Amino acid sequence: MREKKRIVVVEDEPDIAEIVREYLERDGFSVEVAGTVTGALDALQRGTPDALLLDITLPDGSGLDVLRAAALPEARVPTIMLTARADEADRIIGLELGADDYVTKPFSPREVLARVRSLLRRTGETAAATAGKPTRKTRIAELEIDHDFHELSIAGKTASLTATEFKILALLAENPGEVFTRSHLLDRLGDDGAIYERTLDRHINNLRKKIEKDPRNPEYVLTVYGTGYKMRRS
Amino acid sequence: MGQQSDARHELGNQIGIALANIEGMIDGLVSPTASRLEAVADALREARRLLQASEPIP
Repeated sequence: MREKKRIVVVEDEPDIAEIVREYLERDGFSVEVAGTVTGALDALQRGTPDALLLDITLPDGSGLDVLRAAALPEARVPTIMLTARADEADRIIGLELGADDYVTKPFSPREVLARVRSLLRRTGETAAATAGKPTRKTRIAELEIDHDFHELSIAGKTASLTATEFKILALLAENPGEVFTRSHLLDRLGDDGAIYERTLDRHINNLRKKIEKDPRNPEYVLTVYGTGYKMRRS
Repeated sequence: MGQQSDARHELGNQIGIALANIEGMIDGLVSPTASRLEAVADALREARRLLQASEPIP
């Protein structure tokens, strides 16, 4: 039997944390709740969770300190921020500390559950792929994208992408030359547009910084003005 | 954080508590006991107080 996925919920309002726990546990997850930065760091020390739900405003400090610990390359934890302000979330995603998504407060626990499922679908495809399927790789010029292991190498060197950046890249690269409108892209990313619309351009910019020699004059992820984005043909 | 953003944050907390409890009841994860319902009412009363105490929106 497959082991339960472990999720660490960092939220200082106990009522809310407990209800989120109920939702996640009913969905088959194993849940650990922490209400402080210290508690969250302890929980991460006990083992790398499959996902982290992280309140940014905590009584003993900032959730950003937890995010920094969770974003260490050897223990990269898929993270959803819980925050009162969308602009704050955008800024944090821009800092590239490894946050993948966010839910604005006050949130609905149903929405949180949906976002956790979506995040794990994106990151968990790796695990499902290890069951002996042939590897799926896409090569475009110097890029080599391993769809099963969610790995990217550029001219033979491994590059580190967030789950969302990888998903965008993989989708574009599997359909080189095809123009994706913003809404098409959001749709194919499997998320309801409301959350991602505001951060999509940011994700694209971050992706370009990682894969393009000159992010201002991209060679891979091309802007089709007034329409959307596409991957070069080869 | 200013007083206004503190109040806003707290207002968000109270709405979050009410919403989480009610959704939990609808989805069968929280029992609609008298004390739970009272907690929802408390959260809404606190939210109302915060609204009444805040500056009028220009």
